[in-house]
Amino acid sequence: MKILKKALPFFAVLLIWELLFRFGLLNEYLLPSPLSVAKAGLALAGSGELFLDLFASVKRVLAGFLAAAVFGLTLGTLSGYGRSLSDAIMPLCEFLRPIPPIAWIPIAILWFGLGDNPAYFIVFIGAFFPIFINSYWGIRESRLMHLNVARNFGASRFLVLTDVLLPGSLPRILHGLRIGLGLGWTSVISAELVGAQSGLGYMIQMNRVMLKTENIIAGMVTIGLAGLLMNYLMLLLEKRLLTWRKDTLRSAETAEA
Amino acid sequence: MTGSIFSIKNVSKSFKDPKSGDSLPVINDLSLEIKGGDFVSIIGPSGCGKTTLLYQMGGFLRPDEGTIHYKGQPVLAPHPERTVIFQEYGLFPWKTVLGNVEFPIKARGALPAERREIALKYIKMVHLNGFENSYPHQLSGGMKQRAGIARALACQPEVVLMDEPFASLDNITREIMQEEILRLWSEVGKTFILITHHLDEAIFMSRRVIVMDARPGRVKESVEIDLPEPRTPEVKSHPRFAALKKHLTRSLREEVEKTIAFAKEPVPAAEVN
Repeated sequence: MKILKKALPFFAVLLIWELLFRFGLLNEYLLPSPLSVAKAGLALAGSGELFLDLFASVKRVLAGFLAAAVFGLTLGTLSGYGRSLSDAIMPLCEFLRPIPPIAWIPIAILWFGLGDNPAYFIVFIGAFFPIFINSYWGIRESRLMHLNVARNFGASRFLVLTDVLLPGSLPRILHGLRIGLGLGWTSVISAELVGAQSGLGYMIQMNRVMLKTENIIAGMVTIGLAGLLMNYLMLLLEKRLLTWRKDTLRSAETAEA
Repeated sequence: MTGSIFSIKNVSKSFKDPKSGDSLPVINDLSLEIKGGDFVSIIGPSGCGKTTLLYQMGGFLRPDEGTIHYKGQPVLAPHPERTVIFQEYGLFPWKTVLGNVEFPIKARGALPAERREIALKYIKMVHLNGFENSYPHQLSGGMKQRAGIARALACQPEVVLMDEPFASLDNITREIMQEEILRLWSEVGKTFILITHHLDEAIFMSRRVIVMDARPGRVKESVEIDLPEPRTPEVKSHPRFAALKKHLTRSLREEVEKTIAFAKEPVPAAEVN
């Protein structure tokens, strides 16, 4: 029932799209019918091409995201904890943050050439900032009362970090990771449009050159579905790790998708 | 005075008004002695500095002037021997009841097995057994308070400082918790200090009730509660209870009226003294 409700808008869009096509309102080269997109997608999947590109993109996003998670979490936590570190690096971060990942592509190609390396770098740039900023504020906004309780019991700085600050900011940290993964995914596609010879971004760019619009759209649908799945997996992780928050907030599932 | 666990001498404390930058005296020249093992309640009109005093005894705030000595040593920082139970209990929502109660034991470096054993003992003492694995959000107000008390006791403190511990409980739960805390007090034999603005509660629970002046707070009077112990609800119908209540009501009323009078003046803090 719930699934049906969620799938309904998808069917509605497909139906309108197909009807527009049937009434001859669409130019086949600009927007082919959903059916021919589905056929093209199945053909690409059947030949294995689609999966090779999907795996290439997923590999890049995971590698860049993992690096961003390690650096972002460590740096965010440390600068949330120690005032002097945050004073030193926050201005630099706030300066770098507004530069979009796409704007890094030219320099990344210059530095790393074509292929996986510039893509790792672009994903890292895209995913790092939301992860860093959210873990920083998660730690910063810990409740004073909880810190006072820990101080009262004579907890060490390390115990305060592992038992009070980190679990308390976990909701925010996980949120940052989810947003970071999403941004990393959009970044890898952008990077592949210009700087790679495989991956979904490369695939849709090539099909534009060959004017195979149905393949472009099939590729875009794949990008959307993969993003949807990643977001869903992250939400599942949040739900698993934040059982203590259940009932006190609208559940992670309804928060946002 | 000897035999005091707390010796508070001529303490003053003011806070800066964040808007005007004026200094607002909260406690003025307060002196107080508290005997080890006693149950003492501090009552006073709101804003008289009760909570500030409690935080100073806990070591979370330092007096501007005067001294607070605990067992002959000046109080400079929080210490596990003096455990504060904060108004909303301060339970960690991400830890279960067991995790919360284990925390102070973990903080002093006990091994997991020992930690668990001690924690379970205190959970049982507050009758929360069966709820070890519940998270705070799954507990009722009274159960949260029991968990908060178990955690404070697991720290094995000499003094338990409670800041309006019953504020968010309904009347029946409140009465049950009062009796529970009295039972725990007699069981562990430590000093309990309670901030409240409920007279009945203060008289029923305490050996001594300290009435504070309107802001800036000072000790107005200290009344021995010579009611029979252990205290049971029947004590509330004791003629002595009524007499004490009459006396304390008058005393407290004067101070509350003063606060109301102050509130009408433009700069209340500057008017005092």
